[in-house]
Amino acid sequence: MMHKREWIYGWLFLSPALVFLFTFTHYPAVTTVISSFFSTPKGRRPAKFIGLENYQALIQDDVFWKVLLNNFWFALGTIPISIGLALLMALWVNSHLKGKTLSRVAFFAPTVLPLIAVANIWLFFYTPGFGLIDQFRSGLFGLPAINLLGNPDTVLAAMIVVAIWKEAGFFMIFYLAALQSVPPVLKEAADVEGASSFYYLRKVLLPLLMPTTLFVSINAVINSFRLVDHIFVMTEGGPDNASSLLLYYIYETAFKYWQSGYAATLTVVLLILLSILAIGQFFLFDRKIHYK
Amino acid sequence: MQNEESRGRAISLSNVTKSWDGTVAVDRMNLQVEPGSFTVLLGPSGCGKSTSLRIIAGLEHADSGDILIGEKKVNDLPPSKRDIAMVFQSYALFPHLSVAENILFGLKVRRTSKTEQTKRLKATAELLGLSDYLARKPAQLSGGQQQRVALGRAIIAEKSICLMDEPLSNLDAKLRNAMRTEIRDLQQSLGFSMVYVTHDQAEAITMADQVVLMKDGRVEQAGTPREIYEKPATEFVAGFIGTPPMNLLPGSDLGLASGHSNTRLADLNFGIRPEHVSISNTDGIPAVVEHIEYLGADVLADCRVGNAKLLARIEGHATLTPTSQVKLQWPVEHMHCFDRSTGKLNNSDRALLNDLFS
Repeated sequence: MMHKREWIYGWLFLSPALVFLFTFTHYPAVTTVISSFFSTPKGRRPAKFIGLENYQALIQDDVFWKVLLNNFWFALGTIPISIGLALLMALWVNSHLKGKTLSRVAFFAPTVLPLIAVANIWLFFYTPGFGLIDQFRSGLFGLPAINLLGNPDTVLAAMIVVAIWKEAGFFMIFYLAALQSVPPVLKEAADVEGASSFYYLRKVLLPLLMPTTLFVSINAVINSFRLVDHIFVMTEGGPDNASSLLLYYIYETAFKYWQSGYAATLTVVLLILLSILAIGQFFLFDRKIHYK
Repeated sequence: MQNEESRGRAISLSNVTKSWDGTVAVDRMNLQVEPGSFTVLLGPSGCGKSTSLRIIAGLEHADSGDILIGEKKVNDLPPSKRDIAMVFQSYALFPHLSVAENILFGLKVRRTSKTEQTKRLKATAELLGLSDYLARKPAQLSGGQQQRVALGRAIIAEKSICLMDEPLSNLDAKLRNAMRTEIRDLQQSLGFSMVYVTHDQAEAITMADQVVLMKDGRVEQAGTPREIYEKPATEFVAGFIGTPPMNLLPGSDLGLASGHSNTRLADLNFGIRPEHVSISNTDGIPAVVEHIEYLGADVLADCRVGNAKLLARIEGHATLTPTSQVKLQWPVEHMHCFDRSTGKLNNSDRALLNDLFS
């Protein structure tokens, strides 16, 4: 009897969170998968089952492949650099240097700003002719104006820089918290044994930071697919889809072209992709990580 | 693992001072450690004993004064160049490394050959009884085993000096007693010089060749445990060493109680250890028993002599009750005489004692 009642209590405690999780995450995910097998309803014509037609269209869609490739480069550009920078900044502000409070604030400031605001700041930096970058180029080196956002070859790199600038400070906070939980006496013990700072970093600090690195890298992967606000403000995916990312393409398909069936198909691809990446990271890292 | 000649090296601090933002942690400290000896820095918390140890280790930089290891001035050398090993209070084991990797950490840093590493690890693990735990992580060990790993990391490189900062304070009382003997034996058989910091006088007395009692960043007294116990140089030493510590009675109270008056008495404090006090039926100093603590083998009696309190350790069969009037006496040669103003031992006024107690 007792056992059964505990079981009921357990579900009662879980239910508030579960209700929200199912309403806003699991139910939409399932309906998205279902929608991806249906045509887009238009006017008096309801959605009808079309099997894998949407997926066939997807395979033949050049824009989809381009956007996917863009996203791949975007992820590859932002994830390692933002994590590396975050670690460097955390090591820097964790050291006993003067003005560390100021540098902590400075590094964290971009994280506090909404991405829309960040995008506006960088829009000014990138503005051809009188933007900050061109001011430097012409003022210091006498170089001609450059349109970084208007050129398909440079626009994605420019987007990557904005994302790194925004993200590194956020990840730094996690590294900083992890660094502060490492007892300083470990460094002293390593000093007594004659370990160099680099040896200590490589053999002690980085392994102890691995749980944080896993957490941060999963966040970074998710963010590289999730953060598209700056594209709305800065490029709207252009020129020629050179800066469009998967999520932005989904938005365009769903809310600009109103092809909800095809948008659902794209969303399913995004879901599968993210799940594979997250699960893969857990398995890849888990064996090497020391948890306290 | 033992070398032919004694491996230990001497340590010498002269006039070493260290302060932080105006707070003096170590104040013109002098210290001599004989090669291969066991020196304990003892004192209440905040007396500067840990700071002194960290200055010897090179983890803190002295503001002034000289630090010599062997014949060499090491003021500006990093810890790794001082030929020292250190055991920290929290052990400072690397949580992600196995016991073997923890012990070998220093050898790996210095790129000792693999065969040498294996050989030394085997010897050290056997010595400390860690052979079965080499693959474990520190978190899977008991406190005592973690302590041994820290010891192993310290002794494997056969450094000439070992520094320990309250290494036993995280262990329970029983284990602490066992480890005390073990550390002392280890030091004796390996022959390194040891500087050991503790606030526990029992550890100091049982382990040390030399006890250095510190207060407010200065050395109060340095000597063998016997010297520290039997010939305290200051009131502070007298009141710190011994459980319970020495009684310190103002001379005026003692004079009043024993019916003597001498103008010098007001400037002196007299010390007598509780175990030297006995109850007499005939004559002695009148006292009132205020409180009794029964300890089995003996009884601790809180007595009042004039306005002063005096603790007596008396054999257990004595039938004392609170408020009973007793007469106390003790051998004059066990009394100590301190200057009231400076707290220092005053042997010139000892003659007064003979007047008082004869």
